[in-house]
Amino acid sequence: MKFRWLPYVLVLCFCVWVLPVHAQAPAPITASVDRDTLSINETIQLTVTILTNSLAPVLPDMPALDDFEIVGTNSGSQLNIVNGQISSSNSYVYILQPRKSGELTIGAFSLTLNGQIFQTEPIKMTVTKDQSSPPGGQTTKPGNGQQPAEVNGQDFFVDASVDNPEPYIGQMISYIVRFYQAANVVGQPYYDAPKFTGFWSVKETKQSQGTDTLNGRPYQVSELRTFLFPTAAGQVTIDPAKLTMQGGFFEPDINLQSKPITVNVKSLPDGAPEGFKGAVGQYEIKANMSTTQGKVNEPLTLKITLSGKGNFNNLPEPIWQDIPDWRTFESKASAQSTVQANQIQGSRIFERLLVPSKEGKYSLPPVQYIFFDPIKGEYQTIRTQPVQITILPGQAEAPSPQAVLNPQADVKQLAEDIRYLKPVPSVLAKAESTNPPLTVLLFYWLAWGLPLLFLAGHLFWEKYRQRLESDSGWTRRMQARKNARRTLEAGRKGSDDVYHAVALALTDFLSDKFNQPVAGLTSQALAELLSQKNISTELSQRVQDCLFKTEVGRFAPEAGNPTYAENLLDEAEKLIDELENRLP
Amino acid sequence: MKRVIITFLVFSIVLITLAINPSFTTEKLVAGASDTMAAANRQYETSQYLLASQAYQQLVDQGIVHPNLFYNLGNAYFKQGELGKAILNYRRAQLISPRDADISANLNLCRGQKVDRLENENNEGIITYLAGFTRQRLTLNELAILTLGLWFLVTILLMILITPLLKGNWKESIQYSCIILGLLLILCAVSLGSRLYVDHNSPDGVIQVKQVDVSSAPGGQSVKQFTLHDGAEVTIIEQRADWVRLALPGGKLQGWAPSNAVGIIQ
Repeated sequence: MKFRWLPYVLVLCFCVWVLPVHAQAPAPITASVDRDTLSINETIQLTVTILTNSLAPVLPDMPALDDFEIVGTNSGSQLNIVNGQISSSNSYVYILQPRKSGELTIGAFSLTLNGQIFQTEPIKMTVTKDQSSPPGGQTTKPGNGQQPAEVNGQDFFVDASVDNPEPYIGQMISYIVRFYQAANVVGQPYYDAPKFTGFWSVKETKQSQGTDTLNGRPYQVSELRTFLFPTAAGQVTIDPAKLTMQGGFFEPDINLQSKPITVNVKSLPDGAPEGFKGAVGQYEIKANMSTTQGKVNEPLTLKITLSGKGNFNNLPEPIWQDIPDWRTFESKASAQSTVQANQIQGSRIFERLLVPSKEGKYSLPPVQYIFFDPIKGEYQTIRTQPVQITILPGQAEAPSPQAVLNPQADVKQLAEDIRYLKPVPSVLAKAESTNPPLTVLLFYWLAWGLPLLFLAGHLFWEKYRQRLESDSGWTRRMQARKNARRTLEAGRKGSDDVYHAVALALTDFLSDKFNQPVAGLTSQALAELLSQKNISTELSQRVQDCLFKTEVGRFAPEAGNPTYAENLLDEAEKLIDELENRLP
Repeated sequence: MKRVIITFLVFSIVLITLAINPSFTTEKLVAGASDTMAAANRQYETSQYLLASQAYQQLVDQGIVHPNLFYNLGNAYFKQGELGKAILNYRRAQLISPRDADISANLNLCRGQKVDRLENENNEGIITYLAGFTRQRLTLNELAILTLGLWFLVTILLMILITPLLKGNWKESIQYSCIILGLLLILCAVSLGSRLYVDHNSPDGVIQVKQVDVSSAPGGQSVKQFTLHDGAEVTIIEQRADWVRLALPGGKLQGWAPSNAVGIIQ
């Protein structure tokens, strides 16, 4: 723990050293040194960077460097083609050792480009006599805790570090892997990133190159930075970073490994304000409405932009407030971030769909955002300016906000609500007059009996009809009187001989009733048959009398008397009725 | 014979049309009711739910019966958070208009929000089940007419079967239809009977207060058996002056509650 401060210092130095490479000023030529104070035994690194639009390398004109000894040089170039524009960056690195102590100046480098002369600023520096370097010294110092202990002039090694070993939860730290190489690499080195368990990680895509001198030996350094956001408090160890270099034909692969790094993640201090959802970083908030005028039931988009430094991919939502007379729908959030000055900077835009339900002038209330600022070590609350908007009358029917947003998306139910009112019916009447329950009405239950009645009647009729067909004797008996009457009627109308008709009616009737012929019987035999059928002798006598009278009528002179025939017809009719009652 | 059947058919058709057609009932229109309801609808639209519910309730108290009225009243109560009263009125609307999708949707939404998770209907007896099943599909009158119509149809088929005019395939198919319709008739008749029995002996009720203690006897001194919350649907077994005896679905838990805490659907 002797060198606890060292990482901070080193990172600071590194930033200073690396900045010119990244943050290029528009000037085509720049010169920088990694520090401006050193002891006489140390070296500094002077980097001259030239930005041009041509592919051909351009060499700067060197000033006289009388006070320094050039102990090493190095150069690198980078070619970028963006939108068809070529820009090349050539950097020339000079390792300089001062020859004397005191205030020294590195003269201006100059460059002639398209006939124009560009010059760098002269660099002033202080060289001390003593051996030890002041705090904030450079990484060149041997025995530095940051480097592997076994740096003893190897050709390659890998070093890993974090810029802040004691971050808060959610505070961004950088994990930096440096690959030092003093010899040419045969193949492309393969970097195996550690698993950042316990962190949300964002890798910087751009590698940066540089040089460094360790133990008096110049190294080329490639640096890769990963931004980490701790997700849980406590001691978290990052596994070693691994680098594999393919060996030559006769040589085995070279496996390099850094040391594991332990990060002590601090939990956020107590006293978080209400509504804090875990955002850590430095942010600014801005509200933006697409228009200042809207219409009723037409959706408007409110954009809340959070910008600053932090983990934009994982930023919680701001505190939304319900706005009276407005319906709000969550829609989408987008994030974008860039790396600037070794920090993730960017913004996250939360879009909210608002649908006004009434016209009028509105001032949308400010949206609040609460976050923890790890640098200040305190919670901060920011809020937007209120947004002024005028709502004009619009269409009556509210459109589905989902349909407005994205017509092709599946319709999702955003909220459950009851279905809307039903219209006023044309008839509003009291209960007792509209459909009374049928079951309380008598006629309903009487109706149940109706089919039974019909069924019974039908059954009876069907039985009767069947007997009529199958039992001929019964049928004759049943139809005897009907036939007899028909015959008498014919006689009365004169279509037939009256006396014949009466005789026929009587004999046919008796034949039908007894189911046997009667016509040929003598009066004696007829009397016997009638007495067998329980017909009284008096009635039997009348039947015989009647039959006798018909014969008299046919042949006697009285035949012409219509009264006689009339009386006979009546008598026959009476007889048939009486017999019908006696006989079954 | 044909004459008998035809007479019977004509007679049944006339009877059924007479029963279905409500025009033979004289309607007692209430003056100004439509205006009151329209005004209440406007109040609802402007979120004045309390006023709207008071206006609807006033119409209901006058004896006006219409599914739309009950439905809108249910909506107004729901918007005020009065779950029990909302359920009560949706149930009343459903009694009159059982196949209305809006009513059942809102009823289901309300039922999803109530506190008490009562025992499932599976434990009910067949009578309660059939009554509940038909209640969501047919009004009592529809069920009564359907059953009567089936009875007429079955008797007509029986009469046709008795006449020896039919031969072969015809006879067979009429026999089968007679059996199927007969079974359907039995089912409908049992449902109708269950419905009448349930409506008469144990109508449904809905708890209309936030919370009510159900005790072992009427009167405040008895043992508190369980507690019900707003919107719980129960069966009313007995009604007295200030107290009702209620049972939960399944019939295991029952007790007495103040009658003003329970709304009875019929």
